[in-house]
Amino acid sequence: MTPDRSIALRSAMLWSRLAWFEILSKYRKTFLGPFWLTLSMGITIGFLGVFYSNILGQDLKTFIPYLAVGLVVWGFLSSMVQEAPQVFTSNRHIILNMPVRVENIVLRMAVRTFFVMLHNAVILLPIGVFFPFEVRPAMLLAFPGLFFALLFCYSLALIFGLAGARFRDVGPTVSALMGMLFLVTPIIWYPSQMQNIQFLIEFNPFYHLIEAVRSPLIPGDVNVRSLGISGLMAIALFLASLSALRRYRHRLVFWI
Amino acid sequence: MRMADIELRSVSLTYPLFEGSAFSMRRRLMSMFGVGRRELGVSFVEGLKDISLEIEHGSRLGLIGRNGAGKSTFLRLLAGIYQPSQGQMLLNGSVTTLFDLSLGMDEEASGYENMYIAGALLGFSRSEMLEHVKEIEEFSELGVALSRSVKTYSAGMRVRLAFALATLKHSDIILVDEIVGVGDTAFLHKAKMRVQKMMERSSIFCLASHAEFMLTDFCERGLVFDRGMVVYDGPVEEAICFYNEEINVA
Repeated sequence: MTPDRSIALRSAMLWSRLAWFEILSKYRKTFLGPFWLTLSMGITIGFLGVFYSNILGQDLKTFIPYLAVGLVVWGFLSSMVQEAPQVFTSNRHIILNMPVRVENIVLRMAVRTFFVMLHNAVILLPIGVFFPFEVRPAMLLAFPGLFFALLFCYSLALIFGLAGARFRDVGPTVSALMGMLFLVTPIIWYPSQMQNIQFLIEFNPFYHLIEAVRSPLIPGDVNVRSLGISGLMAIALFLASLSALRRYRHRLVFWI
Repeated sequence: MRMADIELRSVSLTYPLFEGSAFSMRRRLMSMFGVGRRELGVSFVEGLKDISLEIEHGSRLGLIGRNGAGKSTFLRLLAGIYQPSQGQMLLNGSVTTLFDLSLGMDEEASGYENMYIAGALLGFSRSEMLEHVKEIEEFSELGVALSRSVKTYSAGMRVRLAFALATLKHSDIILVDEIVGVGDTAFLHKAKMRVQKMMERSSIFCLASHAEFMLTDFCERGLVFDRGMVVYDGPVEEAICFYNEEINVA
């Protein structure tokens, strides 16, 4: 490894550690600590599960695990996307005062959000006990799914972060859209329930990212197609973020 | 200590200044379609103009000038935070900046925890930081307060901790922006000693300050900045005289 690369890797690891400090800081002095996340996720799943399985006439036993995994992954995706436009502007003091690689700031946010998701995911354990499932090797496919989701979100956040620093309208636009996106993404409903315009779901990147993690974990076929699409999207977006960074890295400092 | 050197070849730095409306996408779109005011609220400021100089190994540089003359911009350029818009800058060596003492401190976290946070920002791993804990304890003299959260600290206590942390890293090139007025006289003396030690291990030291005693104590060569240009380059005492006679009079 070239010295430059090893320094980059080292600082990336240190920044990942900073992510953990951020979580600790947020839940300092609370009784449950970061497990507040788990609890609130549990409450959301409980209420949404009972209500929507009833509204949609679905079996609670299959619906709850489906909903739980979907919500946990969605939580990660949506908080990354919503926070992204402010990622550089809110770290202005660091960018202006220390020679930092700005991608590390995005990395810290991605790692922190990922840690938050892992805390949320703890709720899947009691759900797995209440609604027993069959353990199968295909479940391991959730790991590449998670990796693609992380890479996708990191790259998207870099691009949105640059865009959001230059144009302050990006932030409000993104948050206006995310609420709607939650409803049109199959999380509290099944894709098969869509009547005439099912093909539209295919154009939703978040559907594929969620499916790539969800389908291996719940009973039924693994959605290999979505896993593949997630991988392609993540790699394409990562390359795009590299070129955006190359182009705007030195201009960013004037925007924040 | 490595030999470091910096060379600037007719470096200029022009930066865009965005007024409120320039950040708005609506304005941008409207002007694209010829609606509304044409100007986008972007103006350009010449932060640094045509600077050519060499800073050799062993230089102790003082930057002198009025507010907005370009001292901080020059330091940020050397730190790699800004890139020259024209000309060339060649820089050999690692860089430490002492611009903002807050170092991403977390108000809720204790002094000890903040050591690790600042450490990670500066590039120290947890185990490397452990070796420095004693040093920080001694220098900051904060004692048991280090276990309390930083939000309970007075301004002076904060500065003690921040200064101890910011000066941990030893680099070839040290860039300092206005750190006078830190703490009481006893602390100021200690801070001076610490910077002195840091300087001894560094190859190039560069300080921007309005305090003459700081400049004469720490620096040998003085650069006087005026409206983005280096208008005087010479021994620091003479540079201060030049500044007082030519620039600071108006």
